[in-house]
Amino acid sequence: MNHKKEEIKIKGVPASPGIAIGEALVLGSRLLQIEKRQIQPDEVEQELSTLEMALDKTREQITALQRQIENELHDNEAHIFDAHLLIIDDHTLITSVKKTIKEELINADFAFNKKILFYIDTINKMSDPYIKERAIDIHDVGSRVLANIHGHEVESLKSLPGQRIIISPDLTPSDTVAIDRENVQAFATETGGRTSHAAIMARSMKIPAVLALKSINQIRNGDIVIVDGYTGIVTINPSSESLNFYAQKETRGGKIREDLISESKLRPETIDGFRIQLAANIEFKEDVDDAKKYCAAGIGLYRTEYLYINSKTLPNEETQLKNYYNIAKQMKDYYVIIRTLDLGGDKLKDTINIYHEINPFLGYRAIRLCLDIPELFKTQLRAILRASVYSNIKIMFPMICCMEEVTQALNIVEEIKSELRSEKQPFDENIEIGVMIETPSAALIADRLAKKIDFFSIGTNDLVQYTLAVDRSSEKMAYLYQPSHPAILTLIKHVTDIAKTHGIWVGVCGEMASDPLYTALLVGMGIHELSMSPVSMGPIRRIIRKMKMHEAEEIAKKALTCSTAEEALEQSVNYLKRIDPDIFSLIVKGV
Amino acid sequence: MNSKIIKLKIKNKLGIHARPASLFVRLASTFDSSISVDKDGENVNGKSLIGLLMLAAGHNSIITITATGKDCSKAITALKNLVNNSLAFNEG
Repeated sequence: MNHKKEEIKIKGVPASPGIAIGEALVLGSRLLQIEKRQIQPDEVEQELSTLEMALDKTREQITALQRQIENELHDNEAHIFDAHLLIIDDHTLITSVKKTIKEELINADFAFNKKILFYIDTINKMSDPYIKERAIDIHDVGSRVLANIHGHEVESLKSLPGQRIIISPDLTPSDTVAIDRENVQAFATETGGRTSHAAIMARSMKIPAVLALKSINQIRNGDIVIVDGYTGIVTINPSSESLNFYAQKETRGGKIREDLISESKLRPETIDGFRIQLAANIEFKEDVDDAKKYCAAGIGLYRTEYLYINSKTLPNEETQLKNYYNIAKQMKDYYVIIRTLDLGGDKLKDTINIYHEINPFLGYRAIRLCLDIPELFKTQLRAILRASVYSNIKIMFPMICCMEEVTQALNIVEEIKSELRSEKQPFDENIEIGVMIETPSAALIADRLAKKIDFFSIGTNDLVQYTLAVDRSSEKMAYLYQPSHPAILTLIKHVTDIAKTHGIWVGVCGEMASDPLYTALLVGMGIHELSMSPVSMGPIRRIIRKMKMHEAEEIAKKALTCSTAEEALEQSVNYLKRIDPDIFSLIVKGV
Repeated sequence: MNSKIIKLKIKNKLGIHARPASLFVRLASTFDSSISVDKDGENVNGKSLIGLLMLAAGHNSIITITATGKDCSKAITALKNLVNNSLAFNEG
């Protein structure tokens, strides 16, 4: 087993900082060690029906997965499950397994496993890389069927054999709840992002995590891997140079992280005295603790979607009120920006009549859906307004594209205010209302919008996606997902200029806000507030404290004249390298 | 029993891998005729995904499809169209 393996590096999204070096435990594709058992001729029927039942159950599980994925419009993955279904129903495979059971009088699981291993082995020996990749599908289906024959869950994370780095296609809430916390060193998953369940979990467990990691099937059980939660790079079978590099980086990183925590109480102010609001993006009430721990100036984005997803009925006013009120109360002296429902209709299939469309990202979602179903929107707005008694709540509308949407939404707010007045329900009469700038159209009509609302918050993830017409979950198109693209910078600058003229403030609540590479650019363009997951605040606070506003403005000005994303980014990167080489060395790509 | 045979060249750059193989199996399974696919003397059931993968039919390889049964003509025409339809076969 100890022969030299080649070092491979793969990249995902860094979701929780730190470095872990250890042994991989690959989930979701483990074939089990099966014991061979000689059976009696009268046991053959029993073994055959065990096999049939396991196949049926697997078929059900895959169909359910497929349905779930189709809803999320991951067409590529959906077709992989289509192949999985074909494998379950594969006549050649099933007939030969049954034949083995009958003729050799052996147990169903052993016969099945043997056949599967034979196919995997054969495919692995082929030279065609595209066909080789299919071995993982057979592997996947095979382990599912075997788990079903044995009647246990596909994976049990309750007790790990020792310290392990968990490599998995996905970690569900039930996985992470059950997990053996003592022995998990890090997570690396194929799906998810900074805000997914696994990311939140990893941060609360203070272990490194890399998500949205492509081609995790290159990692085998027992491989030595290094997970770099700063850069998102996962190194498989590291060379001794890499091991050294990362060991040193972790020592340095650990020290910097400690320093950053001790700096949490310091004001995020530039050397020349300009204060930037560092705010937190949160989803659950537990996140408020983190926001407070890292001394957030407020909640820049409170996502309310979780109240609607995973629910058989739409959340009623009282449920929502309780949630909003609790968070506002906990944050008492600090602001809380509640974003109204930002979901596609496809995610609410249990609660509203879904409207099928080919491209939900350009379709029925967010404010469009809310204005179309006024009862749903009104319930949420009533709950938000009723929770606003501490006067620290602000409302934010997502996915605005045109003035009519804002006018309509504001009219509904006024309507509810007068309802509450006549009901003698207390609320904040002067509640601030803002809009998200996440479409090019909203950025371009910022001057019209600014007359009607109190603030802007730029959602850079969507702004990049909609401006550059690029889906960032597309592996092939990832190179075009460029937050420093001249078009994006021009739009952001346009919005900050308009805001300045109209005397309103602008925040950024997309991933750009939490990426140290963009801090100087954003601040230099006139952004007042950066909102991010609390754990990212340390490095950003440090950078702001080492910046001078006039230098940042200079950087931004230069970047705005650049012709390419790379040139523009270089301005910011060089500056970061100069003012904080420590942070820079942690986040740039290793080795 | 009726039988039809056709020889085809795989023009898809990636060969018959995941998606094209799935499409082939799905289509083949809609016919009553039995479908077999040969490549370099190896013969597999055209309604079996694993079988097709075992053939490792890469770019430019030559396969022979044999359909046997009442609807063999229809089956051969449909499968030929699928294999030659580079669009469908290039996608995966």
